[in-house]
Amino acid sequence: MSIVFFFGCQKDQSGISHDISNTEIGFEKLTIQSEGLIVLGKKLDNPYSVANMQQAYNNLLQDSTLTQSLNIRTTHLYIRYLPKTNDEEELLLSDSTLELFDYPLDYEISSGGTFFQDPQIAIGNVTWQYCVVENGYQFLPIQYEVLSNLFIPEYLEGEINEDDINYLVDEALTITNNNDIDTTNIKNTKGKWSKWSPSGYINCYDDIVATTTDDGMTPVVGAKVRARRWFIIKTDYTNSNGYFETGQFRRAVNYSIKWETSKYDIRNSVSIQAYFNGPKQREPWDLDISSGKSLRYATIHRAAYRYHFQNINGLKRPNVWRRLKINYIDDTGTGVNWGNNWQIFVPGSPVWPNIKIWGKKNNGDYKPTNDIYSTTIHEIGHSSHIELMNGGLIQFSQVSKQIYESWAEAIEWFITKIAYNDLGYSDYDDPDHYLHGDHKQWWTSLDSHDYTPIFIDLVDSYNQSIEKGELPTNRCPDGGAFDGSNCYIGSPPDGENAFIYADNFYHTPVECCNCPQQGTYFDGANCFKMDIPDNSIGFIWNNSWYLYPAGDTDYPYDRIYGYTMNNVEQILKHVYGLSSLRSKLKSNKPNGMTDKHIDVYLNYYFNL
Amino acid sequence: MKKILLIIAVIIIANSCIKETPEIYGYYTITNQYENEIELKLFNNGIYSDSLNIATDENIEYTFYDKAGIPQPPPFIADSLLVIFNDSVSVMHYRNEEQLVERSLLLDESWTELNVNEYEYRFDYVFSEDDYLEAVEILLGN
Repeated sequence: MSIVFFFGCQKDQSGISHDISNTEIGFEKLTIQSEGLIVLGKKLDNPYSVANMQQAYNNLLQDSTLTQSLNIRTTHLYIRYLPKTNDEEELLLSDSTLELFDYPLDYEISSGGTFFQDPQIAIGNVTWQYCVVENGYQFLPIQYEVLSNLFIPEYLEGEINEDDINYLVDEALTITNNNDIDTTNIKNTKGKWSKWSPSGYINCYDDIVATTTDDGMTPVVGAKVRARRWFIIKTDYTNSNGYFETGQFRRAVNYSIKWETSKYDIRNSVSIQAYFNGPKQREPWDLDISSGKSLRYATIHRAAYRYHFQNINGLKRPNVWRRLKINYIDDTGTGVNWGNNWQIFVPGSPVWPNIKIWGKKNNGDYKPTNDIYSTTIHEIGHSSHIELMNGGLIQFSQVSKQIYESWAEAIEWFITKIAYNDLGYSDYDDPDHYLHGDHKQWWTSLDSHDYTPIFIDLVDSYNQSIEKGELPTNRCPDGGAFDGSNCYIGSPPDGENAFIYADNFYHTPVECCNCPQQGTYFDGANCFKMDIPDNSIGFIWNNSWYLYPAGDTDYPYDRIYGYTMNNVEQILKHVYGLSSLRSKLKSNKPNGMTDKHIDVYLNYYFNL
Repeated sequence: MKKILLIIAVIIIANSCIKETPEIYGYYTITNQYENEIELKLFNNGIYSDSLNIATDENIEYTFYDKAGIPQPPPFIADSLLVIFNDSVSVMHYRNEEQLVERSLLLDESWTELNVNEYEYRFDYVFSEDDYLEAVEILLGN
């Protein structure tokens, strides 16, 4: 049944595509499609095969072009793996020496795109994974095929001089009809290719950034950009400016982004790895991702990268044992988290996602990017919470929905706000400026009792009952006179001190034992003034007794402050419901907080 | 054995999966059925924050959505609001202070609520000729 749900109900909508560039390769114009299936063209004759390199070498020997004799042999292998289970895929991905491609490296790419699936492999299974390994490589215990024995002279720079490498590669490309068209303008004075480093900037659109800039572009940080020339692959991760620069090449390269890091990878609706396939060119690649699924992949990446690698003000990282698989669904919906690590209990389980993120509103329009961002944070927040509960779904399953959803709401609010604050939007999601938002200060008892602001309210300093609500006519129903801010109860006789003990108002007695004010009495030690009512919080200011005024009872009465998300996350490991939360909050109070503050706040939720 | 483990896994996943609640959508519409333009000036804590103009027979729409729910109207932050009819007659609406008008835009009970379905709510507030006449009355001190 679940399998049907996973794969049977999802329909990928890969119809959105747009031209990202008209790139000149020699005199040929190539249009790159940014969305949908990567479409392969014809299979190319492999210039790096040992046989073709030997032929090229023989030709050059006849012309006496080379300065040295060469040993043409197998230096590398072009191979492909077919992982059939989640375990096998994990094993493959954990080999950091492999640069894996879903598509073959010896075909023309006639149309770029965001995913590739071998037509012989059923949807839902991992497609063939292509890569290049050194000769002598120890194969993993996964089905594989050696597709070609290669001689890659570029990797033998210590053994072969640069000129000979160029002559040999040039000749191999020529005899296999793969040499790029007249390139004299980019050859050096000796008619040879000069070295260059693929580089560029990767940016994507953001709806918040668009409120203050013309193009709405923001750098995509931590994106893995690959530059590939046949079997030579060099990669770099974009820096804080979205800039990347790979190792050097001499000729044009195929650019691509693989939406993955060591901690997560991003996939499409049927769990196929997401890419952005760029142009083949011999110049920097500057990309602005402005629409379609690729914008959502980029946005999910920005959020996941933030949670795993960037500043999150002391919160713990998700630390999921296995790489999180985040699927993007280009349809109406919100999000799902299927839990972490469960795959290890099912040897041979297929590749299923941990998280799914939907990108569209109920009218079919795309959600704003900051919503996709915050939903991604929310779902990864669940993964992190599961990990906090010893990584166990059984322990986590005992946590009430109100607790785990409210915590994810707080994580979503906290990290998304950090991200936009870092981009310069200091009032992002500020309840004083935005009625609706992740801050949840608009939330009332009429709304879902699972997605509450409980944890946000522990950290913020905003009392929505006063700030958002419709205030009652009587602001001091538990006594006192409203002075414009609070309920004034009274002051002790001159020279005596007002204080609170055991949630009662007291003052020190006059001389030994006198309590001259009406309504006060000597209790054997001090003058008892009044019991602070259960629903009110008392405080002393300027040696006078006060109660905080009443607010709108539809909203939580949030006089709690001083906790940090980091504090709360540490106690969360022991929290399963409101009672355990109350107990843990009381035993970990910050300065200025009392049990009464906690009781008054949480009683609202106990009474829902 | 493999089959049994797979069944166990499916049960575990089915029971532990965190499927988010579908989002609730709220649509808020302020319509002007008065015969001239209306301008709304928003204030919060005594500070002017925004101005909205609505031409005759036009409206302003807001949409909010969230898994937890949606805010009660009005769909903006304000504790007082100056309504100006045809650039001539104006009247204040309040959230917490004593009201001069019968239907303050800042109070949720002044809005008509329609539950479209389980996940969609519509809130409407319509300015009419009666609101203009009420403002004139207040201006004249009647």
